[in-house]
Order: sequence, then structure tokens, then C-alpha cells
Amino acid sequence: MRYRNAAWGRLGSAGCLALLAIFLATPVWAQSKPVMVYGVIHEYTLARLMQKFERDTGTKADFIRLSAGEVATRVLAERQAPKGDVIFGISRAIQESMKTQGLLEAYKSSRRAEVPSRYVDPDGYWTGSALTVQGIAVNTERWKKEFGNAPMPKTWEDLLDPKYKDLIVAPSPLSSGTGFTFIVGQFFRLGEEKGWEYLKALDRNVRFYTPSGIAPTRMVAAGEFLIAITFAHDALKAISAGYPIALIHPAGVSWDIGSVSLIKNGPNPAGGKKFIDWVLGRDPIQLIVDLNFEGSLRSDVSLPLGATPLEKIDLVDYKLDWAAQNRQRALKQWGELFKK
Amino acid sequence: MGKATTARAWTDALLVRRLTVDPLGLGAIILVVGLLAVFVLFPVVRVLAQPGPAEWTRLLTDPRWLRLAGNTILIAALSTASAVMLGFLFAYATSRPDVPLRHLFKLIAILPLVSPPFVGGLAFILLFGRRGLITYSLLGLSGDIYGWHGLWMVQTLAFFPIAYLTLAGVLRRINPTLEYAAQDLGAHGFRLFRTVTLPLATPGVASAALLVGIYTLSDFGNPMLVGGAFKVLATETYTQVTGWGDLGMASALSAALLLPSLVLFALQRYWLEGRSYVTVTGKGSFADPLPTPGLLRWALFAGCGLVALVLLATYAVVFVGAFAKTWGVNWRPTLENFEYTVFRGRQLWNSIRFAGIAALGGSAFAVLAAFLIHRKRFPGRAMADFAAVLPAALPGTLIGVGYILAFNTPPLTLTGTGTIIVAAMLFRTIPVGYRAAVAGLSQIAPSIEEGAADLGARPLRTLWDVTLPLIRSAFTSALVFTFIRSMNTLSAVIFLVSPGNVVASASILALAEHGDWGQASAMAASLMSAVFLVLLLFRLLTGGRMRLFEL
Amino acid sequence: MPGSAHVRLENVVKRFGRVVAVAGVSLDISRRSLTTILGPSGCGKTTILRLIAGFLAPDEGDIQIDGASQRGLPPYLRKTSTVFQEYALFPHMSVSDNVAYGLRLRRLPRASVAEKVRHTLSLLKLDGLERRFPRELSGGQQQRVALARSLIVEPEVLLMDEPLSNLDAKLRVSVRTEIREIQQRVGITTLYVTHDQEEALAISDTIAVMREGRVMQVGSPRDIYERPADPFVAAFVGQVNLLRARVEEGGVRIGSLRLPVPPDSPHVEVGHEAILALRPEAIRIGAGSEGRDGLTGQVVSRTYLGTTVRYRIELAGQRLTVDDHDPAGKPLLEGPVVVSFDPTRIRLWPASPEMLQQMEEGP
Repeated sequence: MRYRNAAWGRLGSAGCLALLAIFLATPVWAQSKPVMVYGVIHEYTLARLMQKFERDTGTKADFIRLSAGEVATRVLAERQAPKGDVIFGISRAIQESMKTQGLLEAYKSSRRAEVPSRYVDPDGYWTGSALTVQGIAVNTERWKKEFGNAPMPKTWEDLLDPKYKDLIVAPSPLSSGTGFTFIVGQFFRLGEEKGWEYLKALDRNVRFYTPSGIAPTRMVAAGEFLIAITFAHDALKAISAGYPIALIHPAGVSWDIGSVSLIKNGPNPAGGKKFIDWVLGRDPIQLIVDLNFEGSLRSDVSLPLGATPLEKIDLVDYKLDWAAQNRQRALKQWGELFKK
Repeated sequence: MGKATTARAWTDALLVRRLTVDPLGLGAIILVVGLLAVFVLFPVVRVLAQPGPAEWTRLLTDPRWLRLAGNTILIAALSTASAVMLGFLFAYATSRPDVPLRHLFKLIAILPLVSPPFVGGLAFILLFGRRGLITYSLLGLSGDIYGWHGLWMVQTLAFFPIAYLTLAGVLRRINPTLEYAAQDLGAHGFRLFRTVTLPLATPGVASAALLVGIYTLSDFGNPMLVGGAFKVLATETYTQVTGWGDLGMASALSAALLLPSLVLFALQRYWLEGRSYVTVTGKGSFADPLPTPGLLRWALFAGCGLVALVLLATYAVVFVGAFAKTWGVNWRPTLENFEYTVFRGRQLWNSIRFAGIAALGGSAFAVLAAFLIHRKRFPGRAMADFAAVLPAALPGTLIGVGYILAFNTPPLTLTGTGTIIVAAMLFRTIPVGYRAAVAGLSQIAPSIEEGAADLGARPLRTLWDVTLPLIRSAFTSALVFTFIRSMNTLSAVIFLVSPGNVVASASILALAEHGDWGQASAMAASLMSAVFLVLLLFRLLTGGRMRLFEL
Repeated sequence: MPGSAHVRLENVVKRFGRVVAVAGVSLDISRRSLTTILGPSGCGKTTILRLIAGFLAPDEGDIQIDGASQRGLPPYLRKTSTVFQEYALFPHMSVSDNVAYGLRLRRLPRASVAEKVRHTLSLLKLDGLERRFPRELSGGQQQRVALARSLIVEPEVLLMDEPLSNLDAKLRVSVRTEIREIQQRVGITTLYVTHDQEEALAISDTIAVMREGRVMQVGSPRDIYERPADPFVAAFVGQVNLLRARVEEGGVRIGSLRLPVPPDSPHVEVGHEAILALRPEAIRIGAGSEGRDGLTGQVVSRTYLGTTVRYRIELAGQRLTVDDHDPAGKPLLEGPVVVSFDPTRIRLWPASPEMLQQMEEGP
């Protein structure tokens, strides 16, 4: 009995040490520095994109998918010793804010020429990669059940109808780019004062605000709610998956440019630059369009499946500078007004 | 007064001198105390020191935070009450030898402990949401589960196993002779239960409630998924960090959450420990067990059966979701979702290896710490003991925020590495191994170790040759528990993940938030399977002799 | 002698799996007597207690109280009351609540409960301890509370399971006397279980000696001690020397000594071996090497204990323990000695192989 216990003890210890060795073999710290990408686009698409990058260029890369707010926070928190090289897919409004805070490094990629100039930072701190427009997503099954043949909302003001009380779900601008884009869109459409009033009126119908930008679309897709404030690409993805959604673009729709930038003092700036040069190319952009349903800024990339052509959508006059400068203040005010 | 302290100082000085004679022992003590100070106490101090007066004022006056605090306390109270009741039901039912299927119930009751806590929330949406399998596909109901009521249900199911384990242990260790004595004097049935069993179990019930309370307070994943408009402090901390970047406010909120948690912890540790009515008995077959009255037996069976079915459905649905093409819309079976899991298999591997290192390192550390702290005298011993058990009271979000603050600057820049995740996992679960080792040590008479010392063994040698083999079971159970807990942990690590170091639990939450139910389920199913496999492996290796979850 | 059979066991058998704990026991317990079941651990005595209390059901046989079969009656319906070895006091209740527990179950009016509690506590000299909790009491006090709790419900039969084993030696003597006094004063039929033979001899009306699930002998303490039914009982109760002797015509022979067969001995075959039992007080020892009424032996060891000198003697190939209870003034013996036996105090049985083996192994 004692003998057996002793044998087990040694076997156990040996086993533990062996396991420890295995776990530590794949090192917990970074070896040869891969390119570190903070991506804001959908994780699956991002993963595919990074895989293609590694295949096409032979450079190792690692990424983490974060929401826009998280990226801003993380880069700021890490400014003494940045861990990331590139920010990809984030709203340009946030890029502007980070540029002002001195968190970015200018890099004028040769690819900039392939993108319309108004979607590129003249100082070279960020470059647009995708165009995203917003809209309303309505669950058609529920609509039929609850409102029959009544016409679906066509304008933003239609959403204020009391019959939609607790049926609308929207993203919170505090943590999601989608939310922020939406509220500034209303400011650009109505002017700031009227914009706040609109948001207050809409708030009466909103059940709650989600931390993530895509959650409202997801919930409406599943039928948890009836109407969502959404980005077109999120809705299109759900439609292609088979969910019963109708995507509506009211007059005066907000939009955004997903963009890429180089983080200042990142661990691998050369790799970062390589990534930027690569990701703006035709094939990567096509991949994003195909998988993520975002709109491309390149002329040689097709529309996402099911998307309304851009000419048919009424976009607001988006003033980037204003959005960047007033972001913090607007968010603060929003947080104080809306507790949900 | 003066004389006593002088004498004390003398003794301490002598002890220190004794220690310097044994450099290895001294080194070990310094290591243990140092690590505890850096990785447990320092982050907490940083969190408490971060908010400025502005943040503290806002915390105490802003009605938003007060409402959040109210929400947090409310849901914690509700969930704790129901979880304890459910846990008692299970503990009582499984203790009666004539309740059918009781061994199955025991097994099922443990399920929520081996899976990530927020899987309950995920499964709940899949089952009872708008497109839920039960509510929509089966019953055609429409109802909104988001909010405090949905969260209440989810948390009850997620945390009742903790109450169950505590109470099962308590019921098992109530001296059966007391119940026999009561019967001998004429009591039986409900009167026996009410006058003897229940009062004896009451401290255990209180203990279970306090334990569950701490878990519900720091629950992060479920409120995120199911809470809807009902926000709690833990989720708000997350929003403050990721949305506002306001680490000051996040720290203040974490501190607010820490307060009730510490209170519960202190109550459980210092007030209740001494009031336990249980003993460890060794009597064999005293009596033929008294049969449970038929009606009660079937009621117990039905109650447990219902809950067991819901639990099984919860985990089954995750596996179903893993194989369904599009949840609620297209039920065609597919392996697509697993393709993503394989594609991002690195995350699962990260979970396994981080948890593995944390488990191996953590258990060894806990045992070493227990030995040094409880067998040696050195200045700062009481503080080290406190630091070793404190993490049990710390909400995961506080640990996350604390680690960001503490290890973001040189000389200890750990953010962005896997090390910080391992450290968070490791030190979070130290108390379990530590407590088990301390309990084991208390059953070993110091004279055994003195005997070894007498024969010439240095302290660490004694630890290795004599003490360790005797507390091996504490080590192995700590090992398993740490591994499981670390695999499933979310609230602490969500702040700490970085490129290349993402763990499966964070990934699952992100997928679920995006509405990628299929992929979330696939990864969750893989995570749970990995945990089960490891458990099974361990069971086989130890020949089934290992008692799991003895706490 | 106290009256008729109050409790009767008829051929009771109890098995635990393959182990037979009680192998067909029949026993009568007289009304108002204190009957002790005495035996080594594992002999089945505690099992008998639990069978009577109702915690176990017999596999065969019957148990009757006052002629009424107890079969099928759970413990809470039987008129027995048990004092447990570890007292089993309810730790969450005070002394008076513990004692009152049984009465409250019977829904007696509060005033009379209070009165009875007061009376019983006083009987057991526990006045002043009403509000204390069990953890605040000494071992002896706890024991008395347990006894009070059992007595107050006025059971037909009081069952006591090794009540003194948790007390220290000095306390045991005084407490057992107290228990006996109370038992006699209250006049309650009591079944007492112990492995301590001195205790049994001191307080019992009747002793039943058990071994391996069987009752070996039932009788008064005197009967058990002076006329043990077999070597086991002889060895278990009190000190005894067991010697092997050969049966001859008209007597038995050890070495050169021949002893008469005591009149009430069981039959022994001439030519076979017999076992002799000699209590130390039946043996005399002196110096010299005379051979007529005694045997010559050699002192092997000697222990001086103050009031006694204990000699180990080697004699006729066997070992003997002899006590000298009055060594004052006499020189200590050593070397060859003469050992003589009181023939009226010899017990004799035919030697069975089992008995011989037991002797080899010792008690």
C-alpha cells in the first residue's frame, strides 16, 4: 500500500512536470514579433483576412477583435508601451480623435492613390478602407404578425410613433462605433439641438441600448425585438444567413468610413506598414466586401450582395472634424441623458 | 504592556535569526510573501487608489450608480435565495438513499460548475428567447426574457451547485447519532427535520448563502447576455473601461462592488467558521436507514428531476446549436461552426495551456504557502495569510481592472502578454488550494514534522518528504478545481486578452454578443468537452480515488 | 430478585452482508433489573442494543417488550430510551431544552414539562446548569444530561451504550455508582452494554457474556466470576490462569500434581486433555521445593507493585501468574518455588482444539 502510493506520487509528479513543460513550450510571451492588429470588424472576417495576409505576404500576424471604444481605450492606456501595431476597420471619427491625442503615426501608403481622396486623412494618419452606411432593420415575420400589412417605417420620424414602444433596440454610443455614428448622424441631419430632441423622443421607444454595435441587429434577426438601428452590412449579413429582415434606408442616413492606421511606437512598425499596404489592395478589400458586406472605396471591387447602390441612398453631410472634436462631449452628454 | 511587546520583539528577532540559518526556507518565505504582495495586494491597492475625489463623489451621489448598486444587491439577494433553496433541495434529496436516480442528480448538479458560467445565459436565450427552441419552436410563446427575471433564473441555475456542494457536505457531516437520538425520543418526519436537522444545518445554509452571494455579485457574463436594461456593477465596470476608458470610474465601481463582497467574505470566514455544528464522524452502519415517506420521496424526485431536465436541456442545446446552420431559422445540421473553432483553435489551446500552467503552478504555490504560513513563524505572517485567502472575495472585474492598472508600466509591464492572464487565473484561485492545504495540515500533528526535523531534515525537506504526501489529496483537488475555474473564467480575463493571447471564454462571449450563435455554441461545446476530457483523464489517472469538490 | 421477563429476545439473528453480528441470541431481561451485556468489541452487544431500540430490524427471531412483539415498530414508537456512547446531546439546544425535548414531542403542557425538567435535573444533580450548552459542560455533566433526557420520558426500558467509555478512569468509578443508584431508585429496567468487566461486576443484577454474536453465559456477577461456563468467560471476567491437564481416573494431572475433578464440572474423558482455570487468589506460592500438595516451578519474572507482588512462574511447561497480596515483611521470592492450588476453586472443562488455540493466542 505504501509502495503503491509512493509509485503514484512519483508518477504524478513526473506527469505534472511533463504537462508544465508542454504548456510552457508554446511560449506565453511573444517570440519573433508578429504584426499585432487591433481589428474592429467582425471577428470571423478579421480572422480570414489575417490568414490571407499571412499566406500572401509570409509575415506572421496576430490580431484581436475589439469594439471601437475598446480600441480607443486600449491604445490610450498602452501609450507608454504600445502593444499593437495597426488599427483596422475603425470609424474614422475615432481615428481623428486618436490622431489628436498623438497616438498614431503618419504613414502614406502607396495605396492611398487608389482610394478617393476625401476618404483619406490629408496628413496621412489614416486611410479609408470601407464605406458603411446605416439604416433600420425590421423583422418581417414579427411585423406581419403585429402590424399586418401596415407600411414599414420610412423615415426616422416614423420611429417616434408610440406604437413602437419597447420594440426598438439601439446600440450605445458609449461603447460602439455604430451608436456613435448614429447619434452624430442625427446631429448632422437636424442640427445638434434638434438632434438631441430627436434622440430623447426616440429613447421613449427604445427598450435598451446594447454595448455592442451589432447586438440590436442580432436581436431583431432572432425576433427578440422588432426594429434595430443598424449598419447595412450587419443587416445584409443576417439576410444572407436566412433571417427575415428588411433593410430600410430612411432619408438622411449616417455613414462611416472604416479605416486603417499605424499606432505610434508599436512593436513592429515595419510589419504594420506592410499590413497597411496589403490590406488596401483589391483582393483583401473584396474579401471584406464578400464576407462582411461592407461597401468598398475601391472602384474595382463589386457591391456587397443585396446592397442598395450608393446613388439610391440619401447620406447626411458628415462633418468629420466636428464629429472628432465633439466626441467626448457628446458621449458624456448622452450618458447623462440616457440611463438605459 | 511594554514588557510583553519587548518580549514579542525578542521572539520575532530570534525567529528571524533562526530563519537566516536556513537560507532555502527563508528564500521560499520571501518568494511566497513577495508574490502574494505583488499579485494580490498591490492590484487591489491600485484600484482603491486610482479614483480621485471627483470619482468618489460621483459614485456616491450620481443616481445612476446608486441605481446600479441597488440592482446589484437586489439580483444578488434574489439569486442567492433561490440558489440556496434549490441547492438544499438537491442536497437533501441526494442524501436520502431511497430517492430514485439520486446518483444521476448528483452528477447533473455539478454540470454548471464545469462549464463557463455564462453558457447558462447563452443557452437560456437559445431555449427561451424569442427564437428559443422551447418558447418559440415548441410552444409558440412570445415573451421577453431580458431583464432581472431572466437573469434571476439564469443565475439560480448557474450557481445552485455551489450551494448544493456546501449543503451536501454539511448534511453528510451532521452527526447521524443526533438524529437517531431524536428518533429514540419520539421524533420523526417533519418534526425531526424541523427540530434537529434544519437547525444543525443552518450554519451551513448561511455559509452556502454567503458563498453564492459572492459569486452572484461578481457575475459578469450572464448580466451581459441576459440582463438587457437591467445593469449591474460588474457590467458597468466593463463599460466604463471599454467605452469610456475611464479607469478611475471603473475602479470606483469595482471598489463599490468589493464592499459587499468583503462583508460576505468576512462573515463567512470569521463569524460562521466557529459556529459550525458538524463533526467528522467515522461510525459505520449504525442503523438501517429510515425510509423516506412516499409522498416526500416523489416530491423530491420530481423537483430534482425537473431541474435536472432543464440543466440537461441547457447543455444539450449548446451542442445542438453547435451543429445547426442558423439558429431559429435553419436547422440543417452542419459542421461549419466547428470550422471556425478549429480555425481559431489557438484560442482553445490558449485556454488549456494558461489554465494548465495556472493550475499546476497555483496548486504548488498554494501548498507551499500553506505550509510556510502555518508551520513557520515570521513577521508578516498574518498579512500573508490574509492575502492568500483574499482573492475569494474579489470580484473578477476588480482583478481585471487592478491588473491593468498595476502591470501596465515598467518595471512590471505584463499587459499584452499571456503571463498576465496566467497570473490572474492563478492568483484568483489560490484560496481554494490554500484552504484545502491548510485543512489538510491541521490534521497532521506538528509532532510528525518535528520528528523529521529531529532526524535532521531542513524545513523544505520536511515539506517534501513528510508533509506533501499527506496532503496530496488537497493538492490534486486544488489542481482540478483551479484548472476548471481558469478554463471558464471570464470576468477577470476579459480586460487582459491581447493579440495571440485570446482565450476561448472571451471569444465565446464576443461571438454570442454578435449573435453568431452557431459559432459561439461550437466553441462553447468544444470548451466544455475539453474540460470534461481533462476531468475524465484525471479520474482515470488517479483511479477514481480522487474526491472532487470536497469543499 | 426483581420480577418477571420484561424484555425477551428469542433467537435473534442479525447479519450485515456476510458478517453475522448476532447469531441466534435468546435472552430474558427481568423487570427493574440492571442487566449488562459484557463482551469484547465486535461481539454483537451494541447490535443487540440497537435491535431493542429499533434502529435495526432482526433478520430472524423476535424481540418482545412485556410480551408484545416489537417487529415493525420504528424507534420513535418504541418505549425504549437510549443513552448513547457519545451522549448525542443536541448542540444547538441548552441543557433544559435537551432534557425537555422528548416531553415537548409528546405535547405535554408547558407547566408540567417545566416541573418534570426541574425534578429530573435535580435528581441528576444538574441544578444550575439549565441554560448551559453542551459544549460548555464537562464529560461527566454531559453524560448526566444524556441520562436525564432519557429518563424523563419514563421509558419502559433504558438502554445504555458504554456510557462511561468517554470518561477518564477516576470519574468512571463514581459515575457508575451514581448510575446504579439512580437506576435502583427509579426502578427502571435497564440494559447496559460494556466491555469493562469490572464495571459489569460492580453494578449489575445480571450479566450476559457475549462473544462473536453468541451469549456464552448468563448469570449473577458472582455466578459469572466463580463459576464461569467456559475458558473464554473465565478469561474475560477477572484474572485467570488457564492450564492444560491430562484426565486420569478420578482426577486430573499437571506435572507431578494430581487434582480432584470439581463436582459440578462438565464431563471429561479419561485420557483426554482438560483445561483448568485458576484465579490468582486460588493459588499459593512459597519458597522451597516440596512436592506433595503443590508443584515445583521457577520464578521467571517478578513485579513489585506496592500492595502486591506479581510473579510469573514457569511450571510443568506452562506459565502462571500469581499475586502475593501481602508481601510486607516477607522476602521476595526467586528461583524454585512451590505452587499450591485450592482444589475447591478449580474450574475444569474438556479441552477442545478451539479452546487450545485461544489459549495460545491469549485473550
